[in-house]
Amino acid sequence: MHRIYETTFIVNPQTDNASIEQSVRAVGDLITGNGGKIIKQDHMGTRRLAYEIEGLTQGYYATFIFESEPKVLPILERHFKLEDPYIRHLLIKFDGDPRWLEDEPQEVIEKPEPAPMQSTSGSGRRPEGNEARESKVETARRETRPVAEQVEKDTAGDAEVAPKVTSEAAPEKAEVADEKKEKLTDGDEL
Amino acid sequence: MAFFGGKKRKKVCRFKENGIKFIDYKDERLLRRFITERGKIVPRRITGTCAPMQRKLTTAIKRARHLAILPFVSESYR
Repeated sequence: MHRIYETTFIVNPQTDNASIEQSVRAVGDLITGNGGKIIKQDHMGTRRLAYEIEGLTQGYYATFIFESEPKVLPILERHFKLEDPYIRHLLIKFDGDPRWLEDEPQEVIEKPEPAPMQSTSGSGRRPEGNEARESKVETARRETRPVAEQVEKDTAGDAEVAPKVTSEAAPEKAEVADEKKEKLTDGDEL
Repeated sequence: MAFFGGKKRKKVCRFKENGIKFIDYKDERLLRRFITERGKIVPRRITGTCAPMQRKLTTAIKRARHLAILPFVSESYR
């Protein structure tokens, strides 16, 4: 039975471009040579490693998504282990929906759209939304405004009241955010 | 959800909200949001991620660590 697999591997970048490419192509050839079919490939290129591997700080990343018999996997594993230029590899069953590969091959490699999330990403790894907070502040403002306007009318001329009410709503919200941030950073206590 | 002193807010799963069903382990920018400065995975109780997505997120983060896309422990804490 044919299955869809995905493999990402890191090639030692301290060789010339030709041999990097050669190493990448060797993997592709192994797949196709054993009856597999490459559905999608992506060369992320040279990027910084999050930690040193074998004394290297950079690595050349490449990904193949392919369809093949399971018997190809041990062959690939062996290749990765025996050949020197590969410093890390990951070989897994593709766990996305195969339909994405047919309809829009881009999407899978690119990333399942974090677009709306980016706008709210203010402080990095705290994912629950500024969005919600902002909209709340806004509604708070909207709510306070009519009252403020009334006050303005009543105390005719005393315009200070209005801005004060609205600006107080915001700092309070900011405080809540800070508190949450603190909670996050001292994760050990949690 | 109960409101304690008006400070607790209902958290929503970021993935559900945005209709994301698949987390790519190569997507460093997305995954970075779910680890602490130290490199730990942020618990769901803080992020509000729903259980199924948290499970996928965890595997994605672990795969990313294996491939040196994410750190096991941040440089500054080593």
